[in-house]
Amino acid sequence: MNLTDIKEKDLLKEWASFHASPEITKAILSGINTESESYWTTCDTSEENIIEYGFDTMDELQKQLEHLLSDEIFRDIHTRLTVSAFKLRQLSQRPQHESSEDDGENPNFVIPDFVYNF
Amino acid sequence: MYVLGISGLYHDSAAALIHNGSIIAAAQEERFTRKKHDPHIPQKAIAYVLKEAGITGEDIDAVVYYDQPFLTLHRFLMNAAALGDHAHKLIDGSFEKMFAHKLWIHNDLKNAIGCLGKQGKLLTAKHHISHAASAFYPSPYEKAVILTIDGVGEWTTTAIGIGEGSSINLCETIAYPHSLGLLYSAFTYFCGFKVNSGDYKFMGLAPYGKPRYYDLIKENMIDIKQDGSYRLNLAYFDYYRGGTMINEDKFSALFHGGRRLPESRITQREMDIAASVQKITEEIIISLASHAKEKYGKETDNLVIAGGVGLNCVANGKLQNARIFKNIWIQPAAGDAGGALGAALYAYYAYFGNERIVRNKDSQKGSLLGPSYTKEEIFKWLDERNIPYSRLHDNERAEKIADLLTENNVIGLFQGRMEFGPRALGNRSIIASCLSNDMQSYINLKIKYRESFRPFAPIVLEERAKEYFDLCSDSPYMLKVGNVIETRRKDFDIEKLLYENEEDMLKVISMPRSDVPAITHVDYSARIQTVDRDTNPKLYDILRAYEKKTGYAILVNTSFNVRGEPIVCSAEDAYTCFMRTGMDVLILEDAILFKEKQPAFADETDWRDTYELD
Repeated sequence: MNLTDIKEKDLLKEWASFHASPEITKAILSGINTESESYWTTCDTSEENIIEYGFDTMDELQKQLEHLLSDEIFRDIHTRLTVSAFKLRQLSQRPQHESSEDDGENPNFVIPDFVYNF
Repeated sequence: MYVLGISGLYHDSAAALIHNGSIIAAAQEERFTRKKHDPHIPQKAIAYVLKEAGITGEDIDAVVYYDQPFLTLHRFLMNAAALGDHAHKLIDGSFEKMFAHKLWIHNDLKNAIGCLGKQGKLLTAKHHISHAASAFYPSPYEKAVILTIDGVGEWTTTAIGIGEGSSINLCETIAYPHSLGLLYSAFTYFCGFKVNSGDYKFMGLAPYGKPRYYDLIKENMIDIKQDGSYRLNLAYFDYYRGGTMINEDKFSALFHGGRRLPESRITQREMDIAASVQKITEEIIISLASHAKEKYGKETDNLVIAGGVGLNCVANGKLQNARIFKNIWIQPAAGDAGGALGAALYAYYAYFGNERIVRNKDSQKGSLLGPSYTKEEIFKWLDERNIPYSRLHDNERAEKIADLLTENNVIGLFQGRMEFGPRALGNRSIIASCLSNDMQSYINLKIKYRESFRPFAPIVLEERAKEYFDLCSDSPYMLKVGNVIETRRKDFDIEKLLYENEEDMLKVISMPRSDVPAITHVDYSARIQTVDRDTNPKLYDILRAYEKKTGYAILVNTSFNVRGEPIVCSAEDAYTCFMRTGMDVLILEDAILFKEKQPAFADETDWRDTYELD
């Protein structure tokens, strides 16, 4: 099975399509605003700059995602994300000859020059 | 208290180990795996830093990663939702890396180290906090304004903050997708260079051009406010869709032609675009610093910088000379590798609340933080392989090397601890005389096998720097560009010469521009490294000896590698690179090797296939 073909990816695409709205696009992919005097955002000082990180079980990951992704838009996606993480992890741990060329564990894997993967 | 900092899974993965706040060791993974910008979990770098300290994973008090995976996930999801039906490419491109690897960083690091230290827990620091910490904590300042600029880390692309004592606070940020680092990379890509590794070439190309596209870019692609904040016109870019860096149709229409193909001829258009983008970059950085000074710098005249854009040494030089801040310190590993160091330092000072002791010079130890060999280890290594060499004695070493330099020999210099960060600072360097008109072309084409237009940097005795350059501060990490002083210059009009020579760079490059031609760029600029005795006594002695013989306290210094290869790490890397190229002499600690005395080198592979062109 190719990692890129698993159904969770299609579910994520469906989620993105379902939640698309002009408001979200405007908020995230905001354009130039000639009327604004500044584009700076003041930092939220209540946010932690350093935290403990980790999970062992699906339940632990799901709880953390529910806590960290608490906005309405994420309400129906925590389980899908959790399943995606555990399913892809398991598939990526298979012996190398079975995994895809694009597998980050493959020491010969090179990021294509035209893709700036964030 | 031992704290291990890690960067990885984006580009330039690295490990850094600190002990009670002091840096013990730091290294990029690429140096060990020999894959440039290696993004994988830095397993070999981790093994090295632990070995350097003589400890195991179980002795580490905390392991810290330089990025917060859930915040990156949040950006990825919001970006996808914002794209809606057009999110396919973004999701296809990032889905596996996010869910199979980035979210599992705790497991991968546990496997690489053997455990997650005494507590068995991983700490994650925010990406720009890691950059900020890498700039502030090693700096020589008790208090400083902090500026971080890179492609993107979680949501942030640019940040301004304050560091004081052991604390760091980020105050204002600019968020993805608006990014100066990504803007620069987009143009690097459009002009036919590789994103990340090609950014430096793009900067080196700028002096060949005129900023003819400056107004066009500002009118169409970016809005810069008076306070330095900025936004991009996203119609020109494609990276936020998960595609290529740019919208090729829009770029091509604006610049009257498509993307330059990699390795094809560089035309005046690319040179002018590079000059224009460089000018805009400098303008933004100076505006950012002015805003930071006005709003947060009333009580301090110190600025510290990190993030990949901090490696733009031309902009750094302009910023220094603008005198907005009297003192500027830039993290030598300003890119993602330095995030490993910053994450460890932030945990030690801010999370565990330890007191910070500020050192007069800085705490970066010359950025000489990597592996080293004793001279006995080198002799043994050479003897075991029957490699012909002679031994150098301390009292003749610098003198002998200086003699060889005056005879125009190109020398591979391998000594002491390897540098942390992208620049070779004299311990894994190729050095040569800068007095010859042909040296720049010769080293580029016969030794480095790289583009002929690329300039070389000078190393100069710190106390003599003002006799050559107009830079108003020291530059120990080769991160600031200054101009050769006027009395040393020769008439040189790059635009006219390129026109007269049908844009043939090679012809133009061989024409002298000063009395130190090999390190004088076509606009009289130079990327300067000042050398002091305390930081690197062996390099200092070579420069002193050369000065006694020639009257010049200055040499060419370029990284010990060929194009596409990471800087050499081991003696074996150095010997292999020496034998594959036109270098004349190799210094391995106190062993001297002459090319003409070496046996024929049996290369099992065509080494040009070993390293992908950068």
